[in-house]
Order: sequence, then C-alpha cells, then structure tokens
Amino acid sequence: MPLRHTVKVRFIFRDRSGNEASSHLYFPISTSVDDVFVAVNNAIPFYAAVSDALIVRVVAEYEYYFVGLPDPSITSDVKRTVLLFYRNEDSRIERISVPSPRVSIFETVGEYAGIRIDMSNPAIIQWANLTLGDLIIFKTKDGDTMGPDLLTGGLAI
Amino acid sequence: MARYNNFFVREQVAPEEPYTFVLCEVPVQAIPYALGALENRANETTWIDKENWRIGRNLIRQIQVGLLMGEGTEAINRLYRLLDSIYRGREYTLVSETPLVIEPAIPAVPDATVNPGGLLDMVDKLPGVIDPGWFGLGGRKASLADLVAALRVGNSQSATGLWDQFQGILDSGSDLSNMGDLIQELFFNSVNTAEEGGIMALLAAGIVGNLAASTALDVKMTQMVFQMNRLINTLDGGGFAPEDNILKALRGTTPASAERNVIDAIGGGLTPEQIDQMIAALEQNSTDNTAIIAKLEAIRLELV
Repeated sequence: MPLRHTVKVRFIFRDRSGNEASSHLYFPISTSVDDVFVAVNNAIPFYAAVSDALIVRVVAEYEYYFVGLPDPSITSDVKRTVLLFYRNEDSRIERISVPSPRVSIFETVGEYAGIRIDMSNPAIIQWANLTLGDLIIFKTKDGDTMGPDLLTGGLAI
Repeated sequence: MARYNNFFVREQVAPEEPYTFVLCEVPVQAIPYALGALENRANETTWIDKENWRIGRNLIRQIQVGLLMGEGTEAINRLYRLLDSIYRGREYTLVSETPLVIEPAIPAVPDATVNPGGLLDMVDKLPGVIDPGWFGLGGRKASLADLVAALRVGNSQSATGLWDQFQGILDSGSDLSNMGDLIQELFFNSVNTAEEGGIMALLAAGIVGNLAASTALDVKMTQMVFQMNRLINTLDGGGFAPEDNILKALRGTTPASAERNVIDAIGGGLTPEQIDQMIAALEQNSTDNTAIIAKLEAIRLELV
C-alpha cells in the first residue's frame, strides 16, 4: 500500500445563509506551494461553473504520514493537553497545544505540581529556545508571529 | 443575521476596551479544567468574525496565563519586595525578565535578617546603646524614656533631693513662699506624673537659686547696716539716746570748732584713766570694735 503523503487542498464554500461546506482536491506531496495555488486558481472557475455558493477560503495541507512507529505509550492520553503560552512583539498571547504531555515536564513541588510546566525542564527550555532565535518563526493561524517569549504552560483537560 | 455551522454558533462579539480587572480565587486543582474549557471558547468558530475572534482569543489567553502565572500573585510579590527593601534593606536583582526571575526568591517565611540601609536598621541604630555602667542601666539600647530622662538632667528622685536643698533657702524668706509652692508643685506633681516637666523645673530651680542668692546678700547687708548703726551710736549716739557716747567722752567740755577738732582735744586733755574708761565703754558696747580699742590702747600707753 503506497504511503499517503499528499497535499490536501480544501475549498470552503459559503451559501447565502452563512453555512459552510468544503470540497477537497489532493496533489502529490512533491508539489510546491506555488504550484498548489496555481492549481487552486485554475480550479476555482470550474467550481464556480458548477456551484452557486461562493468559495470564501482555500486551505492547503501538506500531510505526511509517519509509518513503522512503535505503539504509543500506555500512559499516553490525548485527552490531556499542555498549552504553551507565548507573548509576541505586540504583547498578544498565543499558544501552542501539544497533546498527551509527559508528566515529567510539569512542576513537581508546590501548589502547581502536575499542573504548570516546569520552566527549568530541558524539554521546556528546548521549546523556549526554539522561538527565541530566528531559527524557526512560528505564525498563528491569522498570521501573527508566535513568541518569542514563552511565558508559561499548563495542563488542559 | 446569525450564521451557523454544524457545531457552534458564530455570534460571540469581543468586549471592547478599556478593560477592568479583578482578583479572584480559583482552586489550583481545577485549573486544568478551566484551561480546557476556555480553550474551547478560543475556537474561531464561536466568534462572529476574525477580528472579534482575534480580540476574544487574546482575552481568553490572558485569563489562561493568569490562571497559571498568578499575575495577581506577582503583583503581591512586587509589593513584598518593595516593603522588604524599605524595611529590611534587602536588595533584589532582576536576573531575567522572561521568564521572570528575581533573586533572592521570596521565602515562605520572611527572613528576619536586617540589612544596612533598611528602615528597621535605621530605627535600630537611632537610639544607640547605653554604655554599661551608665546610671546603672548599662549595656542595652536606650529607650525614648532614657532620652527624655537624659534631656531632663535628672529624674524624679534627684528632684526630691534637689528640693530638699532648696527648701532651706526658701524657708528663710517668707516672700518667696509663693514661688516655693509653685516650684514644689512642679517637682512633686508635674515631674512625678510627667517627667518631661523636668526642663521647666530646672529653669525654675535656676530662678530660685538667683532669688536665694539675692536674699542672702540682702540679709548680709542688713546685718552690716545694723553693725554700722551700732558703731555710730557708740561713737556719737546717732542723734538718739543715750546722750553719753565716746565722742562726748573724748571731747569733754571742749566743743569742736573750725580751728580745733575733737582729736586735738584728746591729745591735750585726756588722761590715761579717761582712756581706760573709754576702752571699758567700748568693750561694754561692742565686741566688734577691736581696731578702735587697739588704737585707744596705744594712745593710752603713750600717755602713760
């Protein structure tokens, strides 16, 4: 069975009542971003010829599936999430969500034990350093820059 | 017009600035549930449009961070550091702003150490230490009462002794009795009940001292005038009885004139017996005229 590495493009339509629906197209994973959106522009008139609804948003997703991995740890619990909060240059607070956090990244003493992340934990420091430099620039969903300051983080259930 | 999707109602409108803030208590153990619940409301699909979602999302993030960081707690910590610096003179150092690290960390129990420059240190040094042996108080910090007592140059016990000394002087002059009563009241009423009256008592004592000295001088002068009057009366009667006096005895029946005084008459007319009588008369009238008696004795010896 071939690996399902694909570029998934989602065309989102909206009708006159504000309802939304989507249609999906898939491209090879090797397709560049520019080529993906060239294809999107080419496809929009064909959708318009078929649908009365308006295309209000297009989402392109590069999906890469990891294969041959061991089973998840029996302690993993995706219902548990750690939220890592950043403050960006505009003093806005954004967050990165990581599911099924390890117990070891949380504080072990005090009232926040098991609830708040331990800022001295190597894994957390690694996250903090990731956005301190310009090595990787994360963006929020609407384009704000994530970070650079990792404020805190905590367990969300 | 409301818009709908399958799961959420797109109608949330973000509140507008300015915002006000409150401190509230949240069970720490419930914070994960609060974070999760708030996270659901940070979903784009619940907000009426992107701009409102952007504003509302940031507000929700502030609440989430507040739950975790305890912004209110940090504000209280800043107050603690401020007071700690003022009172105990502790110096805090900003090690890192992100994450916020300030050293030394705030202890669970306040450190009682008092550092130089703090208000407590200044107050502690203010009274100084009384040297051991000073008035028997010795080796402890001077209290405010000690300072007042030192300013008073005495205390209620010494005031009693001082009053005893004054009493003898004051008793000699009845015209000072009123002043004495006043000062006595200062010493035994004001001073015993309110030690700060000591300064006034000290000033009063100075005035009384001056009055007493004046009184003593007055008495002395009165005694001198009395003695002089006695001498004058002895010599010439002072214009009063008795008519018999030394000058009359010396002069005899020879009156004094512009050409001849009484002393001349003495050189020519007195006999040793008369001189003896004069000496006897002087000795009888006064014991203080030894110089005159000696002179007369010398004259008598010359005549003999």
